Amino acid sequence: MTWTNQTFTDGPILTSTQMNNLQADITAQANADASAPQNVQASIGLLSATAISIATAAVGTSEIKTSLASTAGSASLAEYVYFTFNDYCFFPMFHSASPATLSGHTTAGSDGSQPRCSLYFTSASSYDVDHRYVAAS
Amino acid sequence: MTWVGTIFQVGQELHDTALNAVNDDITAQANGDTGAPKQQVGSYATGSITAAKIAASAVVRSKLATALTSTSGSLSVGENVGIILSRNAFFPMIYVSAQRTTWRPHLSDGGSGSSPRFSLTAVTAEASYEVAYRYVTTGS
Repeated sequence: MTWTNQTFTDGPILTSTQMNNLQADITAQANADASAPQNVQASIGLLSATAISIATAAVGTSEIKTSLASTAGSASLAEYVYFTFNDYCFFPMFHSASPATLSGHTTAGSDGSQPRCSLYFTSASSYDVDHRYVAAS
Repeated sequence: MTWVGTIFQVGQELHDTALNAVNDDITAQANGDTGAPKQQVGSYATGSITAAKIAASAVVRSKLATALTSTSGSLSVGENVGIILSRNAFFPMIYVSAQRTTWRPHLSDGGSGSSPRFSLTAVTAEASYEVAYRYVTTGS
């Protein structure tokens, strides 16, 4: 079906073709047929896109709004450095110039919305811990 | 273009103005013009919204279906406990009551990144632990 975009003029007797084209153009628009007007953002009702209408695997890295955070410093021998990450944190980048051990944090977060851990340094070292997380807005 | 929303009366003569307004209303609706009806949930076919139709960075935290869960317990010195997280887990909150309770690779292979896991070992002192995390659910 093709978008016909009917134009009516005053006077002539309406034909069934004209009226059927007008009716069919509603379907042509919904079907995104050639030349039919596309729905712009303002025409979409709030919360109208649901999990059902979103195509499988449609939400990729470019659709998810994320931010980056990092912390860096130096630690001395046998020092613990504690990290608390943002909610919705993906797996971080842990870097230590010298070997270090990943350990638990000794202060509990309220729940999984407060991800955290620590690094134990078996020798003096600089470190850099970066993470990406889903933004709140 | 403005949404007209023409209402026809019985016996009314049809003129070009009214009929063209009906035609133009199709475009007015697509353009989101003032007064035009908005597309609602049921008007979208299953799977019709693809990546190309989702604006960049449109998916923020509130748009993701997530749940929180946790597991906890106690470890004696030298004891190791395996922690298996849900698929699509975000980085966890790993709490231990004693330092030198380290996290290490899990002793069982999860097979793929769909079964994230690690283990905790109490190296020098007994310790209680709690691992809590958020994960993406299957949605609704």
